[in-house]
Amino acid sequence: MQASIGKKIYEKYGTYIILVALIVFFSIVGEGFFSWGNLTSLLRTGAVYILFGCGMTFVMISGKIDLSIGAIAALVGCVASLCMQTGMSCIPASIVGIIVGLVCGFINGFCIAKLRVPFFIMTAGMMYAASGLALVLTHETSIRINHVSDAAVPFEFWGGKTLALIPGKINIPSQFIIAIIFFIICLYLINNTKMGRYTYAIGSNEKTARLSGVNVDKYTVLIFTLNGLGAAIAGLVLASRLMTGSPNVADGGYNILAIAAASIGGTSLMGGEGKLAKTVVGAFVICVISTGLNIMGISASVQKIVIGAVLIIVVAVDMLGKKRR
Amino acid sequence: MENKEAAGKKEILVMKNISKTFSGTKVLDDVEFHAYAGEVHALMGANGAGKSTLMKILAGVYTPDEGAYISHDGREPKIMTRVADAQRDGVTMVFQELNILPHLSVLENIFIANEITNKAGVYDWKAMRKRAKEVMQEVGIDLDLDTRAGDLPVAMQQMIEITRAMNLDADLIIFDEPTSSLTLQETDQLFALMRRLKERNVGMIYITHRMSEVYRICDRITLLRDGKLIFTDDIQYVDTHRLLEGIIGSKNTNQFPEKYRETGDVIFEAKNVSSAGLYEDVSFELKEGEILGFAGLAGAGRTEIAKTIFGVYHLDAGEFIYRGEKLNIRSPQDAVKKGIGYVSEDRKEEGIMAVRSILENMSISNLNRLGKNFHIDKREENKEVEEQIASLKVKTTGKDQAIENLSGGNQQKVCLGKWLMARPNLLLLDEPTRGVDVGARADFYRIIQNLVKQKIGVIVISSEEDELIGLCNRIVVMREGHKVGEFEDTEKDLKKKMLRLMLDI
Repeated sequence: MQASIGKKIYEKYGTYIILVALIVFFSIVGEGFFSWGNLTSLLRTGAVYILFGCGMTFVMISGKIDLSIGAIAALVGCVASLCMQTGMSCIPASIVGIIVGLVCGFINGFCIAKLRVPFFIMTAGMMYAASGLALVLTHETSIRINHVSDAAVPFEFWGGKTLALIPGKINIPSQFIIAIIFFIICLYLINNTKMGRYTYAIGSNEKTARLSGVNVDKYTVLIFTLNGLGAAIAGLVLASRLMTGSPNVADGGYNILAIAAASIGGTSLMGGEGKLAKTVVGAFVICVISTGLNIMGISASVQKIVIGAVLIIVVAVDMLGKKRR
Repeated sequence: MENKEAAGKKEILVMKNISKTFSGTKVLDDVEFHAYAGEVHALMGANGAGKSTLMKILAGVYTPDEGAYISHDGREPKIMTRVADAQRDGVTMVFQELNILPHLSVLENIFIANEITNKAGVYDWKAMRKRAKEVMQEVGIDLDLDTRAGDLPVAMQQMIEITRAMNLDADLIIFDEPTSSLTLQETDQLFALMRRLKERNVGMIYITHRMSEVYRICDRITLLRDGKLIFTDDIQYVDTHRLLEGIIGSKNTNQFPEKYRETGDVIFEAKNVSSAGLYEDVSFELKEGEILGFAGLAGAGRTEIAKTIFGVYHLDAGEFIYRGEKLNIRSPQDAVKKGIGYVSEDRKEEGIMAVRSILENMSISNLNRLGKNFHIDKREENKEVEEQIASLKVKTTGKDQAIENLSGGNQQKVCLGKWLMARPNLLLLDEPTRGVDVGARADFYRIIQNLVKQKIGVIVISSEEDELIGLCNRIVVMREGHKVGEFEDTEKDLKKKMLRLMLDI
């Protein structure tokens, strides 16, 4: 009985416990980890993972994955930068970028639902096509945004600004606020709307969903389009942070990081199960590890090893808990 | 209560003090079970009585609570923790959902995980082929070893499992409702095989809901109810009355409620409908407040007609008239919008979303109504689901329980509740009581009769003739895609006439 209570607590709060434990650990061993400055940088990194992770959670709950979000983000950043280079101002350029993301996501969903292209092939194809397109459009270089017209300056709104809650201490990066707004919208969608219910239904048993009158194709398209939107916003944020539209964003490993954030949060690759709020916790688990190790002076390559190991261990423990009834 | 004398037969299995608790609920409570060589031992009981759990403990799928004693073939007591270990020990379970690898050949399936290798460690297919033929000849099974297992009918797939078991020198085979998806002839073949296995001194445990089969094939019977042992006895001392009372646990054995006879206008009509390869030139009509039965063997085209009405398959010729208009639908969601509901015969694959809650499983077809636009009115949703749970008497810890943790009968109630919530005008029920125990069946029959009082039309497809006769106002008989007869339920010798047409004798 005792063991099963422990198990229940782990199932419910495990991800939170891991996050708190990591924060405590790095606060002790990493000098300067527990500081206002580092909090701001954590929120900055976390925001990007949240933007990628929320849409990916929808896709994973519906029983699929999307390998193209990193490439879509790169394409969106490059397109928006190019638009501004031609003299377009920030807002229309951002809108064009978002439309590009939505269209990519829509194409993913459409081909998967209507043309029955397996999701793995479809999104892998989109990954190649979108990153290739980004390279072609930019002639394989980065597009500096602050070198173009003055109208582009407010583009920093996506990821370059901070909101000073307590001046000099708590600075909330604008991208974190954007990510939280996106998260809240997604949270509403998944918990309170037909789209959310149908997402779980499709992932749990697509045949049953169909025979219950769910328009599976339509919602598959919607789910991937939403993921395209998240990737587009992330692309604008990433471009805005460095004021550069770079095709190299596609190689940033964001697809796997988004899947990792959702998986650490307990979303199953088998579909039908998952909690969006825990994806946010999973996202922070990853960025706490990477910033913590950064502060300790451990190289990015070693960070990769640690994040990979944590992902495997967390999911393995999850599966062990489910295996024997 | 327990019957000790085994008439000289060798005891090959002793299970004592078997209890099993799933998340706080005791599903088995101190059960004792014995099996003998060369005997078929029926294991009966309502859904949720603990039959499958008991056998899954024996087969190594579940681990029992502490204190359990299991001794196989007089050997040292041992609890199996893996199916493969149990099989190597001579215990094989033929599951309801078969453990066949559909893409592999029959031969590969027989030897899976027990391949014969030569000295170099390479698979020796020649030796395996020879061995398989020997085993099959011994027990009288005829299978083409090179066919893809997935292309064979369920009955043949069972034969693969039995061959696999015999190859491992199994002395105990557990059958979990093996006839639930077999035709009559296939059932006869299976029983003939079981008799041959009996002669070879193999012990068999037979889980079933079908009483007639128990009397045909079984020597001894153990009855469980609510996880407790009710009795174990020789079959000759157990009459249907004692059995039924043991299963239900009350005196009421009359399953079928009174029929509703006040039918109204025609609500649905099929005019010479055909769908290539599925069924041809079928016509029938259904009135408001009427229950129309569809009898026939598996593959007669009954499910396919229901699924066409529901928008899964399309029509090649003929038309459906629904509430006075030609029915024009292209998908299940069109059908749902028009007030048509369909409960699938395949609950696991098409009926439930296993990991999701009762609430979500029930409201899935009703979200267009529950709330505005895309927003769900959760308060109304909770209220309606709770009403259904109460009126259907679903046995559950609450509406948020995952449906996979319910017994089969309760899962089926949720599937039905989904459509009751949708208040349909036409409801298609495909094997509504498959895998549902006798006690709970009465609930289903009562629910269905109450339903037609609200002037909706109901079509029931069933492979149990008694069920159709007890429930329906009219019965259509189908064979190989054609309608071969239609009877009022008041017809004399109805069952005999139906069977004749179904079987073409």
